[in-house]
Amino acid sequence: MKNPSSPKTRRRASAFLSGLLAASLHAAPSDETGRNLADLSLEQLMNETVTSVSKKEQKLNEAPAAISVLSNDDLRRSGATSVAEALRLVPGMSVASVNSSQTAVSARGFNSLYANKLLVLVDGRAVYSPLFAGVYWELQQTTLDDVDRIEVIRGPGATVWGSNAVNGVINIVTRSAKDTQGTLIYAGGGDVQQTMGGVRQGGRIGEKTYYRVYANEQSRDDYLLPGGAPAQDNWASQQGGFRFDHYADEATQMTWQTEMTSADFNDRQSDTYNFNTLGRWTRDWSDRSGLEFQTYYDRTHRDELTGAYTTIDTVDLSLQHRFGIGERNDVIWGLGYRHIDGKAKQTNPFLVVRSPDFDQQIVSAFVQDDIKLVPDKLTLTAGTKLEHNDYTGIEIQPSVSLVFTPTKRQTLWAAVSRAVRTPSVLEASPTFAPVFGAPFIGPGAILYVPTLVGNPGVASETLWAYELGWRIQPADRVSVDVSLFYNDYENLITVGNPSVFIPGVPTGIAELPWTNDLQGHTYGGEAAVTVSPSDHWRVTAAYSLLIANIRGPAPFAETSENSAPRHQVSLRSAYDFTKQWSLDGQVRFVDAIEGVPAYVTADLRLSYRPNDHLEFALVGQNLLDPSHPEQATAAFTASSEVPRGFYGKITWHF
Amino acid sequence: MSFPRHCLWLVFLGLLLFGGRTVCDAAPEVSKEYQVKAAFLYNFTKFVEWPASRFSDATSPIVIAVLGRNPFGEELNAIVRERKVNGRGLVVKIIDSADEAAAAHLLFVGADAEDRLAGKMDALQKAGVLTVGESPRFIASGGVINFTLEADKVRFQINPQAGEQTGLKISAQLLKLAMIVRK
Repeated sequence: MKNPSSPKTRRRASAFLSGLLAASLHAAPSDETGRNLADLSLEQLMNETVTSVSKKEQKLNEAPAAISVLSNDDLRRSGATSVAEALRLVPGMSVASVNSSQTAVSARGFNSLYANKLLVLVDGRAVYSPLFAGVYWELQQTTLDDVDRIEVIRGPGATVWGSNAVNGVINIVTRSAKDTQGTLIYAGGGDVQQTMGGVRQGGRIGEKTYYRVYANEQSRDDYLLPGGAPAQDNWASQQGGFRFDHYADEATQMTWQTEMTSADFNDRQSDTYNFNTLGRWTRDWSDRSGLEFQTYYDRTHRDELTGAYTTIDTVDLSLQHRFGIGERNDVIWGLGYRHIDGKAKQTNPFLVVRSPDFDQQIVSAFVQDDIKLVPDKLTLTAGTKLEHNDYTGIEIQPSVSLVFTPTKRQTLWAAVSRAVRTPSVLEASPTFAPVFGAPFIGPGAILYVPTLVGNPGVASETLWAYELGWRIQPADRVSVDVSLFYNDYENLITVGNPSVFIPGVPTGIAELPWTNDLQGHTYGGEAAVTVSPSDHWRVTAAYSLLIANIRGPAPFAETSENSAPRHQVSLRSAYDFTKQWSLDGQVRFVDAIEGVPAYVTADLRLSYRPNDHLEFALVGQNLLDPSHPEQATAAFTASSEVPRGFYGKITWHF
Repeated sequence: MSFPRHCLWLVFLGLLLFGGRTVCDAAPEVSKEYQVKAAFLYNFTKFVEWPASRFSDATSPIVIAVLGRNPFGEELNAIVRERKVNGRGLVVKIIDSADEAAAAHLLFVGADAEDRLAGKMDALQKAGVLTVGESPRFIASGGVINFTLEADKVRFQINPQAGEQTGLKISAQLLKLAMIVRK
């Protein structure tokens, strides 16, 4: 009997594989789809998503940044149950479940539950908390069906988006009410993702105004402690809201949206809610000129067992204007004002609240010019943001980039930018004094409890980023996207040495101020190749590399150096057997980080659509092991392991 | 016989790169956008009524003309081949000049062919041709229906006045779904 792994057999196998691929390349299924489309009603045709390169997408393709876009269809096919989970699809993002409710998300390093260098916006509203300089991902429960797209920029975006867009920007854009007409009902559940359900009703008032009203809920069971015991971190969230879109004329759109989200987590011992209301007015005079005015109010409240009781109110106003000068210059500029008003109350002895009220004002302006050096071939973009905040004063965040498009199918870009991460309330104000570590014996031979204190003198973290990118479509069905970066960081904020000893009985307090003692650089890149062997099959392979070199006091330098995986590899496939049946899958390798070994995991989704109104989906997540950890325990939050899970979901549109 | 394994990998890669390429070049893929637009064109014929004088008899076909480069590939032909609208068959013609369009019932003008319409719009209106375009200027230059893209969806504008002048009856159902624009 032959050895199954003899070279000869393997050779045959690979010849067979290439034959199979060639066969699928020769399949020509397009006339079948055309005939099906012709049988749709006008209304259904209007809801058909055309995947052609629209103007907006083309612009993205020419963007001087490492940008990826997840479409509504990508989200549906991913089987993700939340925005944070869906981000795992983006090459180079590091997304790690901390526990059942919380997720650590970052790009290009520095990942933790308190990842602070990624700016996240939902419909233009910043969901980056000024409190700890991070994102409460568990509050981002937008119905994925109503999300138009998620734009992910890896690398700085501070010139346009402002402070804290250091390592990346995520824009979650929901659909206009015009595009969510009719009724949507979905319901599902499983062993880990226990329930999910939602209703949306879209309608029209008069000729020019569209609306949708929606509500959703979800609940997730306990994740696991090492050894398999439940971590008691189950949680549930509820969301409800509405959106109106009024098209006064062809060029003018007015939007008003209001939403309330609440969640209880850690086995109902902590809770949180967010309320926000946003208005936006846009007018486009032409492709090259337009005006946008936006304002929102946002309240985020948290009452955490292991944290504190906080309420933050934010009011934000912004104005953007773009116009062309002559044939070659396109200018965009804007003004912004934000007022943050917060209150805190102590709930446990480990997070002392020293001054319950805090507030902050941010005033900003930016201008950016796109200069067509050689029309359709070479564009130079230069701009800067000027921002003033109460903690560190004026921050300047300029960038210059060059985009070269030798052919319609190829883009080369290069960019140099500066971005800053402004200190959080925790780091710069006297509000909080968290206990940090075990008591130790200090001056006078008494015990001191090490306590972190805000340092009004702390400076912003700064980044100079150097980036290169290349996007090419070598054949109609193949696209390649490569980006490289070198990031030079200074003044990274960390914990300093004890500066003040306050004696006391039975223990004194040793105050550790936040300081700017870390610095260093990171470099690496992301590469993604997408091939669609046929109209029914698309495969994306991605690899990302991150090498970090951070200097400063131990152990903090090492911790931040090893906070994100050095290598990540993912393979994703989307396959339609027929118009009714689809199978989607992804496999991810994530390298080791501090406290967490490397792991490989996989998700699969099978869906059946008997008609245009109904979809049944079966999803398996984290299939390759019973459970694995993705993030180590951080201060004030316990981590737990992600278990394998299955769920089913029914979606009904009518 | 020995055949180094890396040769097979080269063959495999070659197939992947060049195989894919030659297949695509041989039978150009029609983008989803034009598949959807082709389906719309067919649908428009169901919701528009031409004057009886435009047909020689009750069964003579509806002629859809495409001016200039045909972005629909075989798509439009495949749609109309086995379909009838009000007892009439459908015929697709690819034409090179607007002068040939007077015999058609529906004329699709791709964005790149719009220049060829210059000065011909009035004649087409008189001839009773439903003109369908896909550029921001199309309605302003006298066209009846114009495709637009909103995000990733195909929408259409209608100028009912131009429709009337062409002698067409556009059903209320179609008008309801369109963005109504005036010249």
